[in-house]
Parts: sequence; structure tokens; C-alpha cells
Amino acid sequence: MTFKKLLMKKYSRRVVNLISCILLISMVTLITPNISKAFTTIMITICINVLVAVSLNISAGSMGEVVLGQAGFMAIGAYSSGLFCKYVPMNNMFLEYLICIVVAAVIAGLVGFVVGIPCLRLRGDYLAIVTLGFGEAIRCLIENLDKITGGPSGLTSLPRLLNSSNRALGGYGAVLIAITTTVVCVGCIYSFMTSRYGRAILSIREDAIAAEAAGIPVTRYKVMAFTISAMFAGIGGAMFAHTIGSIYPSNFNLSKSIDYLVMVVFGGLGSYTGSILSATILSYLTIRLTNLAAWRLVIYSLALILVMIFHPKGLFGIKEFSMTNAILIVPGKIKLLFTKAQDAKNNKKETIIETEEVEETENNKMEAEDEEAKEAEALEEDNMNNGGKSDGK
Amino acid sequence: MKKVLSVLVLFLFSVCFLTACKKNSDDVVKLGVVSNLSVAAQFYGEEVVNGYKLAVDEINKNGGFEVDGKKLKVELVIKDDAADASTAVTQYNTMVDDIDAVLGATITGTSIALSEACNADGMPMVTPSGTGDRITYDNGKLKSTVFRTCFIDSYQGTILAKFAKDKDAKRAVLYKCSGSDYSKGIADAFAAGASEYGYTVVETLTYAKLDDLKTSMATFTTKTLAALPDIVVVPDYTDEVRTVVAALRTAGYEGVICGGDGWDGVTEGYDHPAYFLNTFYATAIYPNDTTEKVAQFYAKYKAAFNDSSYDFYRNGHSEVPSMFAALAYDAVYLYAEAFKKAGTKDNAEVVKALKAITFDGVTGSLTFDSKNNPQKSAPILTFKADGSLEYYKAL
Amino acid sequence: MSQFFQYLLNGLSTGSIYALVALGYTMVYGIIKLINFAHGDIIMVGAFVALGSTSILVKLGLPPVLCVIITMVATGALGFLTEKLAYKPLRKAKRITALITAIAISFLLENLFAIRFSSRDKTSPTIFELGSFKIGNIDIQWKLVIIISILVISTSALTLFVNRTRMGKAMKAVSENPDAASLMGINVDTTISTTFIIGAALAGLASVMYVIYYSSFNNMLGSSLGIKAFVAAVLGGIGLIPGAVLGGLTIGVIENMVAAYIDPKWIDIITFSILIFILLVKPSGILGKNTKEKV
Repeated sequence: MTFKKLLMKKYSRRVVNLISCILLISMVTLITPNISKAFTTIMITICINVLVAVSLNISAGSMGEVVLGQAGFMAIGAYSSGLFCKYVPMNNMFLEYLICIVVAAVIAGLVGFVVGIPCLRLRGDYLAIVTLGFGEAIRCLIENLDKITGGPSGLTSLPRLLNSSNRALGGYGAVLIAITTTVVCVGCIYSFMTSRYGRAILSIREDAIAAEAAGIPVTRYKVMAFTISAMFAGIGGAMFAHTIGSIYPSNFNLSKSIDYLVMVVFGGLGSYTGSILSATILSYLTIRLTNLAAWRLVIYSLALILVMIFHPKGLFGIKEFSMTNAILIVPGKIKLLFTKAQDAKNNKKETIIETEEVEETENNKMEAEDEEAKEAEALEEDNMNNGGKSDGK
Repeated sequence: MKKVLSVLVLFLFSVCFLTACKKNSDDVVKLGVVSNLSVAAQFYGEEVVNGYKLAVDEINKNGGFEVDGKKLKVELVIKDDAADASTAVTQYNTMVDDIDAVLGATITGTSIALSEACNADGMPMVTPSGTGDRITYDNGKLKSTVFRTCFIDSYQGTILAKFAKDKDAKRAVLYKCSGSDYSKGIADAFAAGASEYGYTVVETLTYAKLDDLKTSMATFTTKTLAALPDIVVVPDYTDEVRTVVAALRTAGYEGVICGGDGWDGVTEGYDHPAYFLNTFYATAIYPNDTTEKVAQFYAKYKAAFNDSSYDFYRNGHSEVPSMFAALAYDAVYLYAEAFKKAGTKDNAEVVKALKAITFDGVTGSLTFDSKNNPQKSAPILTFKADGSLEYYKAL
Repeated sequence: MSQFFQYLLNGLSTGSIYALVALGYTMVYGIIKLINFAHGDIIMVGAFVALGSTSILVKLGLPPVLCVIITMVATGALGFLTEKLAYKPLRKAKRITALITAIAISFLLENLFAIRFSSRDKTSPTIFELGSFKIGNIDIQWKLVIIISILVISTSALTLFVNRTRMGKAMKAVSENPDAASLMGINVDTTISTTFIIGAALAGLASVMYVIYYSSFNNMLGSSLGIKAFVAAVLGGIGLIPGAVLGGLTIGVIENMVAAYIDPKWIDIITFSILIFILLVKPSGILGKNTKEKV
């Protein structure tokens, strides 16, 4: 049995994934004690952005609606956690952090629910505009209620658990907490979206009328997806408040919502691994290139326009990334590219008859590769549809 | 599920390799600079950075900071905070392991956030232009590692109150930007001085930001004129000031308009300098001051940053820098003194040295009071018809 | 009482500017169902062009009024370019793709101008100060009268164009059903381009009005103005010309009244509340017709 055939067995996929997990975790653990504060700051920011991008992927990607107000939910999470910390001072920072997360999730989820019920009756452009309206209205409300929220001057002196300078946790304690929070949340979201509730939401995206006809209560699931999306964005907001230690309404404006939408679209609407990767790359670039300021945004917008015109599906489209598929499909596709390039060269030198023969054998080879790749893709689809459960085939 | 987790861990891993690990260099003094070099008020940010650079170049030509008998070269690590408080803190966090002290930030809003971070880390911070009271003393708590070379907003407000008395004003109209700690600080102090200095604030016109001001300016103009004021106070930055002064002057108000150090540079490259006749502002330094130190500073600045004067199609830098450049220059020399006195790069020692320092700079001499604020005087300046500065009084 | 009239006049002028911008939004949405986020930034470009061309005209000794024509040509060209380069390839694509492209173009314009001109405010030249006259004891500024009249003139011209000319009817046809329109021999591409050009030219006119009315502006002019004008378009009924005018004037008056009688800080939130309210209650706007989705 060739290595490739072996890989295609379901049980070996799990083994490979497990091994890669262990390898990566051990590498990270070895490296972490030596990382600098600069790096931990960047990593924590990435964790927050990944969480919010994934939460946006639920409503924008899996539910298929354009949502322009995600920063508003983040703001609610951040301010709830901030106000909680201000009015209920606690000594144990870990406990305070956990409670803040829960408070932020609950309040943001509640607001998501309240906003979702009337808004989700709208579709398409109107929904986009009304979510934009809500996002901005939330921000304006926070600005205007300055007796409670501090208004434009923000809430300052919040406990900075996730800040790398926090002496109580040692150098990298903060990073580990941030990563743990993000991983747990993303894990929850992913398992939710691959359950039957998630599939119901996907069906609404594909064809809402058919879904309704098949007996799925569309409004209920839409509101559910929207609420969960808001909940996790709120958690992201609470993490944000704990990192910087001061929050301002200007942190949660329309630009922020658009930033997250861009991350989700870049990664492919509906692909969670895509959102994670694009959030990572884009956050990293943002921090590293801040010195370029206006130029960065020019390059960013140009890149965005080009991607939208030429490859609107984003990095991964609606599919997810997987180690085993990477090993199976990518070399096949690279070979395809090379053979096609070679064809172009060969065609110039040889006679027509010989070319035809060569082409035939080449075509056969290509077909074989193609089939293998298609099998792997079919397996991948299968996997997705079965939600990762194997049936030992 | 495992796929997602492995990708999650994958990103950690790859990002690992993209950033350098810690490094330490003992023979250089690194000063971290956080300033707004883009977005709002970027001309202030740039002038401040120019002031730092001028001082650092001079000092390095003489060998560097004197620390414990040795001369160490000075390096500036410059980060742009885009006038956003969270960005300021994040940028500071990315360089905190490398630097020995912080210069910045430039505006009050970012300085407050930065001061909390620096204080929590024990990192000495000197801001040349952050005038908000809360930067050094907030909620009854002193931020012991944070200092500044400029005066504070409540002090400015009191100076303007004294000025109102000087002009025999009885009725005052006060503009206040509720979105800016700077503006609120001065406005509140001015309002508080009403009874002591013999005037009443008949009308307070509040706006949250520049856009709101523009939208409401027509209404504000009507209200201002209807209030029949003797003095109009506009404690804000140049863009807002120009909006208000232009509107009031075109509507026919000829009376006194005044403000704080945010007015600095307001007539540079401005088309209607005549609007600024009979207007006044408090500042840290009078650029045409003929004392040698001041004249020399301006000559050096012009020579080093000699851009042609402001014109429409360029990001013009003016030849006469705002007072913030001078304050920034002083801030670097302040650190030079402090490092010399401390004899070490250790943060706690530098902070101790700063607290006890007596410093003589371009903008005057200073010592720090119990709230880490300098005791300084403030000249009031006014304008001639062509927009150039004229000395009025020191209050 | 005279103060109330003053506030009302201010409101109508601000509203006229919003109305002119809203017309651009409405026309583009009507014909290709795209919310052109970059529209506000076309105004920003127009303002810079107006400023620059005025100084050149004055130097050359020509009447500064010509800056209006130069600005309208410039913004029209910009509108045409963005349509050809960015929106045309995306006509068959998903809505979200076109939306994001529009947002990206908006960012691009804002930041290109930030680099070139910094984010510092630019002031309007003296030429645009037109003084005022009196009726009774109310001071009326000339610029207010001019702005409101320009709105009236352009709206009438536009309505005549859409209803009486061939191109106008072609625009209506394409917005109803592009495929059927092309079957009838209408060149869909040309029609769409013309719509964009007209919308952008109106934006150019609005930008000159803006420069006259407000004494200064900067590169972020487009974002705030854009959103308010957009709310106006939705309020009045997106896709409808009278809707844009009604919405613009309403928002302008409400803004100024709130600033005068309540507190300027509530303007933004009231604007967004209006948006949310109208979308939840009657998404087709005040003048719009309710179309239910048929299964």
C-alpha cells in the first residue's frame, strides 16, 4: 500500500492530525519561555482578533448575511466587563477574569438576541445597513452616556490580566490564558457549527425558502446564530479590555467592524480555518506595519480590491484546511502545474504525432493524479458532512 | 475538531518564527518614542519628534548621555500611535523590553493611556506636550514614574481666567470639546475661576468632536452672538479653533477670543490671518524671544528641518516650529540630566533622579511638584494682521 | 422666532447638500443594487479639486464659478473610472463582494489623500464668502439661498432627464430588468456608466456646495457625510429621486434642530435611530412601495 493510500484511511488521518498537534504544542512550549514582550503582545492581539473573526464567520459566513456591526457587540462585551471590574473589585485576578468573560458573553448575547429578533426579518443589503446602524448606535450611545461609561474619554485603570507586563503571571502566563480562552471558544463554535444546529444554519444560507419548506424554523435558527455570534464577539471584547486596560468608544467604530469583515472574507466566507488564518496574518501585518500608517491602508485596500475581483472566494472558499489533505492534494496540484508548464515547452520542440503520443501518456498520468486528488477531496467533503465522525470505512 | 485545533496551534508556531526574541544592549541608551505621526494632529506629532531628534543628534555629537562616568550613545525607537490610545499602549508593549525610558505621548488622550502602562511597569515617562492633569495624577493616585515638561490644563485654565480679568470681561462664552480630555480640563478650570476672577460663563457650547462642531457651528454662532460676550474661550486644537474663529469673525463678532497651547501654529499657512487679530493664547514659549537660548534653539531647528513654508499641495512644515518642539528638546535634555544624576540606566534610580531634579532648558527652568508637574510661567501671545506672533503679557 | 427661522434655513442648506449626495447613492443603487460606499469619498476628492482649481482660476484671472464645471468633470470621471475598473467585473458576483470592494475603494481614496495632503483641515478660500442680506430683521446668508436653489434646479433637471430623454428611460428600464432591457436593444453597459457619471457629477456639485457652506474640510469628509447622506437616501426611499431629496432635507433639518434645541452630541445617535427605525418599520422608505418577496 502506498503512503498515499494509507493516508486516505480515516484512522490514519486522525493519527496524522494528532501527531502534528503534539509536535506543534511541544515546539510552542519549548519556545515560549524565550519570547519577548513584543511577541506576547502581538500574540494576544492575534488571539482576540481570531476569536472575533470566527464569531463573525458564524453570521457572515455560515448564515450568509452581511453583518457590519460586529464591533458594537465587542464594545458591549468590553464595557460590561470593564464596568463590572470597576464596580465589583475583586482580589483574585483569575476569578475576576472568568467572571468578566461570563458577564460579557451573557450581556452581549442578550443584546444580540434583542437586536436580532427585529433585524433578521430583513435580508441582504437591508440587513447589512441595519446592522451598521446598530453598531454605530451602540458606539454613539456609549459615547453619550458619559456619566456611566466615561464617554469619549473612555474607561481607564481596568485590571490588565492579559497584559504581558502583569508581574503576577510571569512572562508568558498572559499569553497562555489568552490562547486557552481563544482555543476553548473556537472549539465550542466549531463543534456547534458541525452539529445539527450548525447544519440547519448552513441550509438557511443555501436556500432559506427550501429550508423553511423542509420544516426548519428559519427565524429561530437565524436568531440563534446571531446571538451566538454576538456572545463570542462580546468575549473578544472582554479580552480586549483586559489587554489594554483602557477602552474607548472610538476603538469600536465602523472601521473595526469592517476590519473583521475583511478578515472573514479573506479567509473565505464559511471556512473557520480560513478565518483563523486570515485573522492571524492580517493582525500581524497591522501591528508590524503601523509605522507605514496611511500607506499600509492604501496597500491593504488595493490588495482587497484585487482579491475581490480575481479570487472572491478567499483563501479557502467554504472548505476547511486539513493536514492530511494538504499532504494529499497539494503535491498533486503542484505536479499538475509542472506538467502543464512542461507541456508548453515540449510542444515547441517535437513533431505533431510525437506530441500527441506524449500528450496522451501525460494526460493519462494527469488523469490519475486528478482522480487521486478528487478522491481526497470527496473524502474531505464526506468528512465535513459527517462532522468528523468516522464510520471505519 | 482536531483539524481546527491543529491549525490554531499552527498559527502560533508560524508566528513564533516571525518575531525576534529578546535582546539586550548595554552600551546604548534607548529612548522609546510614542507620538502621533498619522491621522489626527500629526503636525504636532512630527514637530515633537523633530525636537527629540535635534536634541539627540546634538547630544550624540558630544558623545552621548553621561551615565556613571561613561558616555553612552542615545538611540530613539520611534513608534506611531495614530492618535489612538490603544495603539499607543500596544506599540509601547512591543518595545518595552528594549528601551530604558519613554518619551511621549504627544496628545493628552494617548498620554493618559500610556502613563498607566508605564507606571504599572515602573518605566520612566516624560511627555513634552501632554497637558491633561490625569496623566500624572488620576483618581487620587499619583503615577510616580510619569513626568512632563509642559504645564497642565488646570493651570492653563486658571491663566485664561486671569486673562479674562485682565481684559475686564464680565460675560464669557465657553466652547468645550467633550470628547477631549485636554479641552475639558482647560474649560472646567476656566469655568471654576468665574467667581474669583469676576466673570460669568453665560453660555457653554459643547461638541463631541470636530465633525459635530462643523455641523453645529451655524447654531453655535447664532447662540454666541445672542449671548453678547466680552470674551469667547476656545480651548482646543487648531482645526477646531479655526472653525470657530472664522465663523464668529464672518458673522461680525469683533471681540476677544482666547485659548490655550493647542492654538500653537494656528495661523501657519492659514488664508485669513486677519481673523486672528484681537485673539490671544497661552503658551510655553515666545518664539521671537530674543534671549540667547531661545534664539539659538530656533536657529538650530530651522537649519536642521528646513522645509519650504506651508503651501497647498504639500504637507508643509512651518519654519517656526510650535512650542512643542522646544518642549520635546527640553525633555531629552531632562533625561540627560536625570541619567547623569542617577548614574545608572535602572528605571527606579532614573525616576528618583527625575523627582529631585532642577533643570534649566529652552522653555525655562523647572522643578517638579508633588504631582510630578513642573512649575512654570506662561506667556500670553497675540497676533498681528499678517498672522505673525506678538507678545502680550506673562500671567 | 427669528432664531427658529435661522435654524430652519441652516437645516435646509445642510439638507440640500445631503440631498445632492443622496441622489448619487439612490441612482447607483437603483440601477445596479449596489450601495456605493465610495460615493462619500468622491465628494472629498471633489472638495480638493474645487479648492485647487479655484486657486488656479484666480491666478489665471478667470471667473471662479468655472471651478464648479471643473469639479463636476473631475468627479464624473472618477465615478466612471471606479465603475469601469472595479464594479463592472463584479456585476455577476455576490453582493458581499461588491460591497467590500466599494468599502476598499473608499479606504483607498481616503488614505491616498491623507498621504498627499495630511489629515489636517484645509480652509475654503475667501472667494467663497458671499456675505448676507436682510429680510425684516433676519440675517440671511447668500450661500444658504444659493445652495437650496441649486438643489431645486438639479432635481428638476434630473427628473426631466430621467422621464423625458431616451437615456433616462433606458436607465429606468435597466433598473427594472437588465436582461430584458438588453434584449430590447439598450446598451446596458453604457447606461450604467452614464448613471455613475451623472451621480458622480452631482456629487461634484455637492462638494462645491460643501466647500462654500463649511469653512474647512479634510480627507475624512467622505465618511461622515457619506453615512448621513446614505441614511437620507434610505429614509426617503432608496432608488427614488424625490425620496433622496425628501430624506436629505429631513435629516438636515432634524440635525440642526437637535443641535439648536437639545444638544449636538445626540445628533449621531438620533440619525442612526432614524435609520434603524425606518428599516424595521418600512424598509422601502417614506416614499417607497412595499414589495413582498414571492415564493
